[in-house]
Amino acid sequence: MSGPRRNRLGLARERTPIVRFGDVDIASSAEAINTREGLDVLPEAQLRLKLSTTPDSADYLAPVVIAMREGGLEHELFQGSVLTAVLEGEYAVLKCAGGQLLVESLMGRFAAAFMTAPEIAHMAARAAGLDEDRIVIPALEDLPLQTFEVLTGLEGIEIDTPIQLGSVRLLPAGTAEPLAAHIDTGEETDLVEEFLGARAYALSLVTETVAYRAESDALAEIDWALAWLSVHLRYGLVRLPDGRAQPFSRVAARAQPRRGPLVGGRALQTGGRWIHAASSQAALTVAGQDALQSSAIPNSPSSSLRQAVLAARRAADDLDPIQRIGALWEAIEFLVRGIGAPTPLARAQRKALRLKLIDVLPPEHHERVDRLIALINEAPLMDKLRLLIERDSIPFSAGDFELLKSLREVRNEALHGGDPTAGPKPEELEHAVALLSRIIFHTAERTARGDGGDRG
Amino acid sequence: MSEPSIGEAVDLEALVHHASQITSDLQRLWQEALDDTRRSEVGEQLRARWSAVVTAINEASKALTERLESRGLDPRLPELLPFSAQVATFSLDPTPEQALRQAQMGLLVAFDLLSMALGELLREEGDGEQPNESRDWDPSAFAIARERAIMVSNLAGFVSQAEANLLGDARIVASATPPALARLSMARAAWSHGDAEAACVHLHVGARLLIGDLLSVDSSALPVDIAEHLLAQHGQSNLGALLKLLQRSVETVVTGAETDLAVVTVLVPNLLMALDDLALRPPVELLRKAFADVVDSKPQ
Repeated sequence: MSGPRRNRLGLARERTPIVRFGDVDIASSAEAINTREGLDVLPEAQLRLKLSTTPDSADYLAPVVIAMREGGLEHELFQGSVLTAVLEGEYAVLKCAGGQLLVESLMGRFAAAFMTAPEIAHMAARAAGLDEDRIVIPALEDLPLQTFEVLTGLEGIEIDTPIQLGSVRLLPAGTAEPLAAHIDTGEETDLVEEFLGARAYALSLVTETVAYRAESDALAEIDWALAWLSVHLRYGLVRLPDGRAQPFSRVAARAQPRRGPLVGGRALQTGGRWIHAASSQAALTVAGQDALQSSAIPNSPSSSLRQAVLAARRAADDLDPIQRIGALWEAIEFLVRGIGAPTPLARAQRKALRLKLIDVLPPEHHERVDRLIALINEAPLMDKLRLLIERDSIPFSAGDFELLKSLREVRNEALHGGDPTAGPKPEELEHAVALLSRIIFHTAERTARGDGGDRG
Repeated sequence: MSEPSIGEAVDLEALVHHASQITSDLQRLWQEALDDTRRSEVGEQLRARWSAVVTAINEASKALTERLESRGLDPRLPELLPFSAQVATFSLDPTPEQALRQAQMGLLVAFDLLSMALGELLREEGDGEQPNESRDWDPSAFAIARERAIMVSNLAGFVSQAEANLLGDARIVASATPPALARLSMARAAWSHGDAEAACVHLHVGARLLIGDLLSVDSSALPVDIAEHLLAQHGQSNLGALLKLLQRSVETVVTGAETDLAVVTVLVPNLLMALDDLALRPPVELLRKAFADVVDSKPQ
């Protein structure tokens, strides 16, 4: 595909290319657009961006959509992510690819036995973050309901007899052999050996039809049990809540029980089994010279910036989407610390309101009155974020705000209203973390210029 | 790809726990009798989970047969259930090979018992003489299946231990439930069935195991008359008095005489409470003094 073609006779309908990074339209800056797709390859696209006209809010980490508008209709030609942007004079030459989340979080090291191709395909697609309703594999419907053993190596735990923790059973070293039997490791010769070498295991049993669903349910149970165990280990009172005295070891109290890098599963009716790198996390990649040479670290960062960056790292790394969103908003709270917003109540109004309230309330409630009046004057977090973005001239689109707002709602629902009905899509979370990085960078830059002050 | 082979379960006791959990859920749903669709789903889960237990027991048996054959040992058992001609040759002090045979036979008898309970639980609606009969379960069927499955799981552990003693390389996964607590649980089960005498036997073993655990000594090292030791140290000990009565009652059972039904009926619930309390708030110092000779002689 190339730019708009001539239509001298006016017979062909006008065709206009559409190129968007998230909700930012960059079509007017895009040239030499080429897209390609086929049954045997992931979709690809290439284009050149004229830097002088590219909007500031264009973000390489936002989802890329290339489409053609023709006669009022929009035909999507490509959907994916930017892989590389190479600077060439006044242009950036972009290579894009579709299905990138699939490639980035593919299970990597994987070995299996007695599993059918549809089961493996489903596992790979779900592990890559595709929604269940986007995967159509009819053969999965014919699989029997059966019990799966899901076993993951543990770090930070050493036991010599099994321990039942709710529905999860912690097992000592040397108990995983039956699951690994018959697995042909192919080129991954050390995979089984590494799996069998764990110092302890967590076993969860799930009765399901599809292997991936069984594994996800089991890992959620195991993660919950390990999180609980971490909390329990840090309980330091001499007696437990039921009155029993508890033994104590400082070393144990500092332990961090967590899943090892590999997970194995086995279906106890069909015999299908697998071992793979236990990653719903993206595959680890490496940042090279080009990516790092433009890095600069702020000198003497404020404590709020430091804490914001640490929280942002959790937002980027954590396995659980709700935890990631929580960390993202925690980072934003640090960033907006000290942002002054217009207050609805002036000093005199506050004073008058206080006098009225303490007149009718007993003294023990007066401190509460002060706090509530202060709360009325406290701007909502979204408002403070808008002010920060305006103050630091951070490129931010309406869609960017909408994304953060929707994640705030997910967080609030999870925190106050029960289980969120629909979690964010992986690509939305990745984009939100990119937005957070954008805010941090611009805020740090402003501070470095000396016009932001140290709010820490 | 070769024929799928399932192989031994990672942990048979965990499978029994998993199956028992859904049994409890189904029992509750059945009693609430609200939603037919949900009932049917849970019923399918019930079948799948218990099928996994049955498969795992079969697989363990197959694997043992292969290991015995590979060592040149005859894996065949001499006769069919219930091994009537063999039982007279059983020994309580067997050779390792004999111990394995006995354990295998014990496991098969327990498995037969479990199969009967599961057959009742897993029977499809409409099975039997009246095809359209409404499916219903006797609530006790759930408890019976759970208890028999625990028995099978315990005996499977026996088989593994016997195999380890004979062949030296069996894979043994210990129980997640400490033996003392398992005994108290069995005492509760017997008591709930109205069998106070069986509950007494379990409590007698359980109390010794529990005191052994609390003192970190093997229960076999404790003196036979643990009640007397407790009373000698602390004359007002309620636990000591209860254990003394328990010991007398169990001795009566062992001699084949009738127990005093009234005494054991009152004794069991009180002992269950006292032993729960002992586990929860152990008077360790008192126990140490009462069994000082055992604790002091324990190798460091």
